[in-house]
Order: sequence, then C-alpha cells, then structure tokens
Amino acid sequence: MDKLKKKTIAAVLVAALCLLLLGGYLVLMQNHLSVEQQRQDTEQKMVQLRELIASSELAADQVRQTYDDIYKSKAMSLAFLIRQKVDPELNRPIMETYRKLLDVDNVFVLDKSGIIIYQARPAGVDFTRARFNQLRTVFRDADPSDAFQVDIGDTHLRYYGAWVTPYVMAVVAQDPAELNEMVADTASWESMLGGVSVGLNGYAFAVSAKDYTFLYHPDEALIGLDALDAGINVEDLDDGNCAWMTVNGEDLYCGVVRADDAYVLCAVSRGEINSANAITVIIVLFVFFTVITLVVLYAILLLREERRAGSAGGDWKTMGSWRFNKKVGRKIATVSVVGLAAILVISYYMQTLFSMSRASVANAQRLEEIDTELERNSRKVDQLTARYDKSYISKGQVAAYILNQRPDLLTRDAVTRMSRALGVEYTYVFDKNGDLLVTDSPYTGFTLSDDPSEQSYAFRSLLQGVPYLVQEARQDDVGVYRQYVGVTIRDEADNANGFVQISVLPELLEGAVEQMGLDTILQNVHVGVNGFAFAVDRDTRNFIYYPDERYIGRSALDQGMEEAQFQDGDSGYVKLGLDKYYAAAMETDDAFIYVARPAAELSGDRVLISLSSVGASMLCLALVWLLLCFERTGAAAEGAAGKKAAASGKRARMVDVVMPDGSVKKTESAFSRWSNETMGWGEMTPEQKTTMVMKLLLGVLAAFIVLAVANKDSAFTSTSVFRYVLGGTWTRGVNVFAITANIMILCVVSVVSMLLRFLLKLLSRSMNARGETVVRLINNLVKYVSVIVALYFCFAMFGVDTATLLASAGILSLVIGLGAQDLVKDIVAGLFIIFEGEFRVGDIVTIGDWRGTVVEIGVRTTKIEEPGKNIKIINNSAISNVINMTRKESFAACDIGIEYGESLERVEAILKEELPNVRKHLPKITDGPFYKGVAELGDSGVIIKIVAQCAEGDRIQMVRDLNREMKLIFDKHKINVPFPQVVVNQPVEFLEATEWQKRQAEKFAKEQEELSKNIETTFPN
Amino acid sequence: MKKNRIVPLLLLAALAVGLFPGGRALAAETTLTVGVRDDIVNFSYLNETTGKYYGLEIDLARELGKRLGREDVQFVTVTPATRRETLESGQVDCLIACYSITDARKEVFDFSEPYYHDDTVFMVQRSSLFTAPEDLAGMTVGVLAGSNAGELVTAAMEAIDPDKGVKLREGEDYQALSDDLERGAVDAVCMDGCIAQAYMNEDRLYLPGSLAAQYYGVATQKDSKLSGQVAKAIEDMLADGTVDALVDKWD
Repeated sequence: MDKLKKKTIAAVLVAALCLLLLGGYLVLMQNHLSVEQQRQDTEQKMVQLRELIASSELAADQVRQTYDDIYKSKAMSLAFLIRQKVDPELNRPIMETYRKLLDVDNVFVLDKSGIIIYQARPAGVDFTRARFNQLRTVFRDADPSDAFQVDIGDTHLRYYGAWVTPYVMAVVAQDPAELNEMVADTASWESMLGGVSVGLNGYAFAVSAKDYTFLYHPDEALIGLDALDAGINVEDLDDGNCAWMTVNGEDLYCGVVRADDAYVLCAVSRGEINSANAITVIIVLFVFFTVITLVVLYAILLLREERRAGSAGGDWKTMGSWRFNKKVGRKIATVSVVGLAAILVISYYMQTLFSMSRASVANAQRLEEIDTELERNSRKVDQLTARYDKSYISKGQVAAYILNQRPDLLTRDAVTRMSRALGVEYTYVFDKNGDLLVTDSPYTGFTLSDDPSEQSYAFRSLLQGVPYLVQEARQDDVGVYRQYVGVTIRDEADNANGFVQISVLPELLEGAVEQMGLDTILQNVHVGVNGFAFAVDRDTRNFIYYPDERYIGRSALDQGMEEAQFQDGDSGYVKLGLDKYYAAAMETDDAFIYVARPAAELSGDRVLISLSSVGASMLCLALVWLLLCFERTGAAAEGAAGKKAAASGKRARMVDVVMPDGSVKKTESAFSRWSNETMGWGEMTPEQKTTMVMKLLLGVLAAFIVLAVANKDSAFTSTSVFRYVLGGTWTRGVNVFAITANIMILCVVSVVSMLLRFLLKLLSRSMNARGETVVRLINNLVKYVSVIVALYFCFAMFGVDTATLLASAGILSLVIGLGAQDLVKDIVAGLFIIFEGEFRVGDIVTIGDWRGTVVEIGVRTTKIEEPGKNIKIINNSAISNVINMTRKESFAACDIGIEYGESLERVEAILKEELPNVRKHLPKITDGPFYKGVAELGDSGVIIKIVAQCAEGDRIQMVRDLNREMKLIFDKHKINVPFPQVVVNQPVEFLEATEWQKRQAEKFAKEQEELSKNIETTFPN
Repeated sequence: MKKNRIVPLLLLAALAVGLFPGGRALAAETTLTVGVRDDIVNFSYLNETTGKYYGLEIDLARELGKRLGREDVQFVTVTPATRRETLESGQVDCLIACYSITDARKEVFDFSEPYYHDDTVFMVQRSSLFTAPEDLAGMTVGVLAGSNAGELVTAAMEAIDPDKGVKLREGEDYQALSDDLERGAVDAVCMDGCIAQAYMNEDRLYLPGSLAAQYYGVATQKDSKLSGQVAKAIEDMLADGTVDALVDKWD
C-alpha cells in the first residue's frame, strides 16, 4: 500500500472518530444544558402551581363566603320577619310563604334548645343534638351563625341561624348544589390543572398523597388508577422535588408540589426536552461532517495532484525527520478556518432559532392561558353578579312583603331597623306617583325623574307593573359604587301601588370581581424565569397593567414600544425602558396583553454551546490537519515518476490561464462552461472536486429540508419548532424565523429547479437540435423564474409588502421600457430567433463577418464558437444578416489547370476513372465529386472545375483534400499542371486575310451576334 | 429489576419444594394467602377502578411473601366480623388487617412483632363545637358493636367526669357510626386512628389525646409452622428499616 493510501485511510478513520466523539460530546452537553434549563423552567412552574393552588383555594373560600353571606342575610331577614311579627300568627303556610319569599329550601323557628316551633317543611334532623351546636352560637353574640353542612344520604343541607329573641332563633336550610358547582369550577383539580401547560406539550397532573391514585390527569382514563402502578416511584413524590419519572412508559421530567392531600406534578416529556437537541446536534454534526469531509478530501486530492505532477510540485519544509507540505497545509488551513466559522455561525444560528421559537410558542401558550382565564373569569363574574342580583331582589321582595303586611312600619325608625336586618344600605319607599314616602337615607322629598337620562327614571317602569328592577352598580358623585334595586308593592287588587327601592354597596361583589380582573390574572402570569405579563390600553396605548406599578397609566410608546407592535399575534423584541424583552401580543376587546421575557434569558447557553462546538471541532480539524500535512522525510521520492494525465481524446476542458499577477491557474474552458455536459471527475481540479462534493452534501441537506417541509404535518407535532417556523404565525421582518423560512424556501426552490433542469438535460440528450434549443431556453427560463420566485417569497418573509412589490412591477416595466430597452430588445430578438428557427444550437452561421458554430441561444445573448474555439457572445438584438450555412449541403470546389498541350480528352478519360476513387478516399463527401467541365481557358492553361458535395462544417477542409487528391491523380498520370514559364519563340509571320475571307468574317460576326443576343457572358465561369 | 432477581430464587425454591412428595404442599408453599381489609385507605383498600389492593399492609404482605420465598401473594378480603373465623378455618395463611395485638387474641393466634402502632381516638363534627374529650361528658359516643372501644370510652369518661359519665351507642359497622355522627345521632365516635382516617373530612376533627394505643401485628394460626417464619420475617423487616420505609410511604 502506498503512503497516500495509508494517509487517506488514516485521515478518514480519524475523521469518523472525531465525528463520533463530537456527536457524543454535543449530545451530552446539550442534554445536560437542556435538562438544566428544564429544571429552571420546572421550578418556576412549581412556584406558579403553588400560587395557582393557593389562589384557587382562596377563590373557593371566597365563593363559599359569598354564598354563605347571602344565606346568612336571608336568615337575618327571616329573623326580622318573625321579630317584627309581620304576620300576626305564625303557622306552617306562613312559614312556607317565607321560604318562598327567601328562596331557600327550608325555614325553621327554633327555641334555644333546638326544639322546632315552626317549620315550613319537615326537618328530618334533631336540632337539639350537639351536632347543631353551631346554630346556638347566635344566642352568644346575636350574629348569624357560621354555616355548616349535614349530609344524610342524598340530602345535603347547609344551615344558617339568626337570632330572633334571647329564646328563639330563625334557621334557614339550603341545598348547596350551586355552591358545590361553583367551588368545583374554581378549585377542582380539573379546573385548576386543566388549563396549565408546561413547556410546549407538558401538562400538570395530581396524585393523591393518601392512596397514590391519579386525582387528575389530562388522560381521563388514568384518573382513579394507581400512580405507582403507572410507574411513579414513591420516593420521588416529595414536595419540591424535580426528577425524571415514568408514567405509563413515558419518560417525564416532573416537578412535585405538595398541596393538602395531593401531589401536583408538572411534567414535560423527554422527547420534548430532547427534540430541540436532536435537531441542533444533527445539524451541527452535519456541518462538521461536511467540513471535515471537505478538508480530508481536498487534502488528499491536492496531495495526489502533487504526486502526479512529480516531486517538483511539492513545497516542503523539513523539520528533523518530518517534513511539512507548505502548500497543502496552507490551503487546508484556509478551508478549515472557513469551516470553523461556518460551524460557529450555524450552531449559534440553530441555538437562536430554537430558543426563540420555543420562547414564541411558550409565549403564545401563555397568552392562550390568559385568554382562557379571562373568559372563565368573565363567565364567573356574570354568574356572581346574577347571584347577587337575585339576592338583592329577594331582599327587595322581603321589604315589599313586610311593608305590605305592616303599613304601620312606614316610619323612618322601622325602615332603619329593616334596612339593618336585610343588610342593605338604605331603603326608599315610593308611592304610586313616584314620590318618596319614607326612607332611612339622608335624602328625603325625592321624586322619580321624568328625564330618561336620569338614574331614577328607569324605576318608573315599576309603577307600570314591572315586578322588579335591578340596576347595574354605578359610581355616585362621591365615587362610591352603589346599586339600586326596586320591587313593586301591590295592593289587594294586585295593582302596582308604589315600590320599595333598596340601595346596596356591592363591596363583596366588587372585591370578587377585582379578584378575577385582568390585574390579578396578569399578576399570576410567569414566563420563563423572569418573564411577566402586562397590558396596554387599546385606544390610549397606556399601560393598564404592569408589574411595576409606577408604569401604570404611562404611555407604552414613550417606554419604547412601537406602533407596529400593537397587533394581535405580534411576536418579537419589545423595548421597555432600557430593557429588551421577547414578547408576544394578544388583542382583547379593550387591551393588548403581552407576555414578555427578558431577551437575555433567551440567549442563555447559546454562546457557550456554539463556542464549545467550535472548540471541539477545532481540535478534530487540527488533528486531521497535522495528519495530512506532515510526513516522514524518508520515502519522499516514492512515486515521483509523475504520470502525466493522459490527454483526453476530447477537447480539454481545463486549461491553464495566466492571471494578471503572473500565476498560472486552471480554469474551465469557455466551451466547457457552456457545454451541456457534466465534466468528468477525472478532468476536475481538486478544488472543483471538493466544491462538487460540497454541492452534493448541500444538496442532500436541501433535499432533507424539502422532505421535512413537504411532510410537515406528519413529521412534526403541532408545537414543534419546525411547525412554528412553517406555520408562519411569527411576525414578518428581519428575524431568525424569516431567515430560516428563507433558507427553507431557497432549499425548496433550488431543489425543484435543480430537478427540473436535470430532467431537461436528460430530455435534451434524446432530442434533435430544435428540441435542444427549446430545452436550453426552458432551462434558462427555469433559472430566472426560480430566482424571481425565491426572491419574491424571501422578500415576503422579511416583511416587504409583496402586493406593493407586485404593483411596483408595473412601474418596473416602465423602467424597463425606458432604461432597459436593449435588454428587452435582446430578449425579444432571442425569442424570434428561436421561434422562427433562424438557427439552432449546433448550426454553422455567419453573423456579420463572424463564422462559427452556435453553442447556445440564450434569452439575452447567443454564443458562437469559431473554428479556433474562441467563443463570441453576441447580443441577440445585434444578430442580423445571418447566413445560416447548415441548412443545405455545401459544395467544395477546386479549380485545376492543365497545359494547353495536354489532350483534354485524355484528362477527361482519366478523371472518369479516378473520381470514384476520390470519393472513397474522402468519406465526408456526401455526393460527387463531379467534373464540371472547363472553367476557363487561362493565361497559362486550361482550367477545369471539380466539385464535391459535403457538410458546411467540412467544406473548407474538403477543398484542401480535393486539391490534394487532384494533384496526386495528375502526378500519377503525368498530366502537367501549368505554371508560369518563359518560352522564347521565333516571331510568327502573320498572313493577310484575303478579300473573300474578310467578307466572310464580317458576315459571320454579325450572324453570331444576332444568334446569341440573348446570351450574356458577364460571368467568365 | 428487583423482581428479575427474585424470579430465579423463586424458581429454585419451587424446585426444592418439588423434590418433596405431595403436590398439595407445592401449591400451598408457592402462594401466600393473606387476609386483608378492603376499606382502610393507606392500610389496605381495594381500588375499584383497578381491582387491586393498595396500602401499607398490602406492601407489607407482598414483602412478607417475598421473604418467605412465596411466588405469589393472594389477598382475601376480611372484615372485623369474619377475620377470626377466616384464619381459624385456614382460608388464609395469615391476617394483616389492622388486627391489634391483645392478650385475648394471643390465646387464639400467634402474632408477629407489631408493625404499626395506632391510637384509638374520638372524632367529632366541627359544628358541635367540641374541642376536648371533657366536652363529651354526658354525651353519646358511638362505638363499633363487639369492639373493646366501649370499655375504653367508659373508662376514659369516668375518669374525666364520674357524675355525667357517657352514653354509648353501638353501630353495626364503621359506616353506620359515621352516618350517626353526621346526622347527630351520636355526638362523637371512637375508632382506631387508621380507620377514623377513612371517615375523616374537613367538617370533622379529632379530639386531642389517645384513649389507648393499638399495636397491629401479623396473625397466624396458633403454633403453626408459618408462625415462626412470619415472626422472623417481620422482625427482619423492622430491623432493616423496610417497615419504616413502608409506613413513611403510606403516611
């Protein structure tokens, strides 16, 4: 085995080893970093979960409290009805009336020990038991008792007691179905965790701390099953623990939060954590593979070339027993450095792409969560408002009932007591004319307004018989929120006879609504490690929520936001003050909501990973470089007997050119460049071969990308980065996504156009000349169209308004019409040439004084090759006066003289014998040669003419060949060809014509003239 | 992984057993049949969704089966009423069913060392506003029919307030006791802590203090061959921390 081969094998082995090592290193490093990053995210998520659980519990408590407050108030109303003896006699029907009036499930009047005095319906329980001690707390401090619930079988009742007298209490019982529903809506595991998303595809689930069953899991089939059976290790279930766990065979990275009797886990699958790595690692490895392949290949080729050229080609520097190939070393080092730069750029780019798209997807998800939360809350607010309204109406109805039963209570004092008992601010009683009769408020002597714009006007409808009216809470002059509710009072005939109006301060409701407001929601939003959410008013562009309260109310535009960023779905960098954030926007009815995370958070480990990739690659390349450029001095002379490359039978496609600086470089000949044929491997220089391999590798990459793009739906999950880039929901502009999309577009376009052109090339081989012309034209067109298409889409990706671009194409055409006339002319002329078939590729034409073979007819230019292999490029518009010499057969003619003394007949007889032999000697003759008779009786001889038919391309050579043949024939037959010679002759004595002859001659001349007057002999031939 | 290591051992054991004549012995020796409860969360309860038993006693029984070299552990549901008979009749090899060690029971069965210690407690409704056992003077306390809880309650209340004493009301089963408490028919119930846990909810509370300590042990037939093996195995498990780990897991 020779040295070079050994070297090649060693280099390939080292390269493969490096590839493996680098791959392993990258995978380990990436994994480590992304798990580390995931741990941070998960820890963040755990904090969030704790807050979520706490706030849900708080909200549930609030719901319970609100609910209980309403029913406590009802118990107080009942107590008031009884204490005021609104009905003189209490009995079961009256109790039933009260029950309906209060809209509860049961009402009782009990004595102090719990014995039932009156009841609307049978109680089913014994109130004297200690179980009901809670009710008796009313006698201690006269406040309504705290609620408690008794569940017997399917009967669930909550009890509320209120003090009537020191010996009597009123009790209200209510089925808390509605409450349970509301609590479930607020604090059930499903309502809490269902909306939580972790990472891109992760989720939260809950495991009972009691029996380790799944309390909640997005996969409903799992709920109730044993989590330990599913694969979770009990040791991992520890508050605050982050660990890998297995659920039904799926590896998940989980964070554990202990909440009451449950473990809440937020989980992200291993696949998701590794998916970004896998692609990044593969791409970086691919780049490294390309670089190292090219380096090794280039070096080997260079060395081979050098060896072929002989020892003289080497430029060695000896160092002890080793020698260093300077030329190869320099070239390889250059390629390596460029490769390292590529690795750095691509690895950094990939990291950027992935971190940004992950951030974008995460931001979008967070926004979606906010949206869901907003929707849920607005529904809850509606529910809550409806419930309060109902309770207010009930209060109004109780008041109306009391006043109807006891008109004597229409005094300021009594009404004050009633207001207190009903838990309302003030009570107003109006008569049927809308005049205020009595009230406990400071305002007296009030009459309902006739002005529809006034707040009190609406209550006039009650006088027309509308049973009740609930107004929305409004701010009064002093800024206090107050709500008015009116209920009609009816006379015996059931006609409206005035109404009771109560005013309430809906503080609880306000509080609850505030709890569910935008501020509260945004406050609880966390993105990444330090990310947050904020909101900007839609109209004023002022902050309506910002974590730092000082910003609220200030203009977002002043802080550095741009008008273009106020757009639904906008995603990109946002400047806020001095800091830069990566944010995504969502538009709601009255605000733009943003989630933003510090830009610095995104960059994370990008630089580290990129640099370490480059560092590792550099080590590998250095190793390969040393291996390739150094060798032992010992066997230097080996193989120095340089074998010159056998000159190719065809035209040499690589020629040496002398550069301006005097160096000799190889270049592809002009012919070769436009040739439709691929250059043979053997003909290429090392650089060309390397470039060829690089193109091949890039082609493979492009093909992969094209495949990925084509199969995006099946190949990627909905939250994958690829889908995000391809989905195009990102903001157009100069950003990493646009660049990625452009790379994809370029890949697709170039692969498609390459395939098309390849097909065309195949076609052209089996086509005739006209076909080839068209194919070349199409080829040309494909080239231009694909560039235009690619440009168009790329511009679109960068946010250039392509519609405008298209419109400006109109202007463009004008510009072309004026400024690029020649170009248009060329193109039109080119089209005419092709479609009128003036000439085709391969035709021999004369254009002006330039004769040559048509190599290519382009859209703009035509290339003609002259016999001397130079190529002239002629603008199509400049092509005129074309003589196409290919269309018909040409003739090669040769004139040959014979001496006057020679017998013409003898020559003709010889020619008759010999001409067929000439045909045999010159196979390019398509017809002939023919003897065309005597062309001229020349000065020194008789000129005879021989012609032969042949192709135009062969014509010139044919003339020469014919001449040669004729000379040989004449020599053979001793026919003398005249040449100028001086023969001295005795002067001849000329005889006089006789008179008869003179007369005859004149007659003959005139006769001949007459006979041949139609024959003109201008041409001597 | 652990299981894989066990399998060859089990096979060896089975082979060894197979060398002895008598197929019945083989069947009996490869499976450990354990009487367990199906209603005590964290100790042993039957998950109706999966149809499997879970809990401290279940894990304990499995571990015991392993240490006894049994290939398989089968569970048979027992109740306080049936457990004694089930073991006596030999339907199960042993009882791991919150079965507390008492002198009376020791006369009938052999017990291992206790693997769990529990307290007998009072559980009341929060709405009764009781906060201490003293509040129960003169009240009605529910106890399980046939259990020794009645004596304990009476003794405890006598000590607190000999005048008022306490009324006892017996329930057929724990659920009935819980229902009585909910309805108010009894003012408190007295149960073993682990059982009470199953009926605990946010409207209820335990009164502070313990009426008696209960020690749960594995019961086997008196003087049977298994008694020694079980006692040894449980002792080992206590010594090497296995029991502690399991208690920790299900606590």
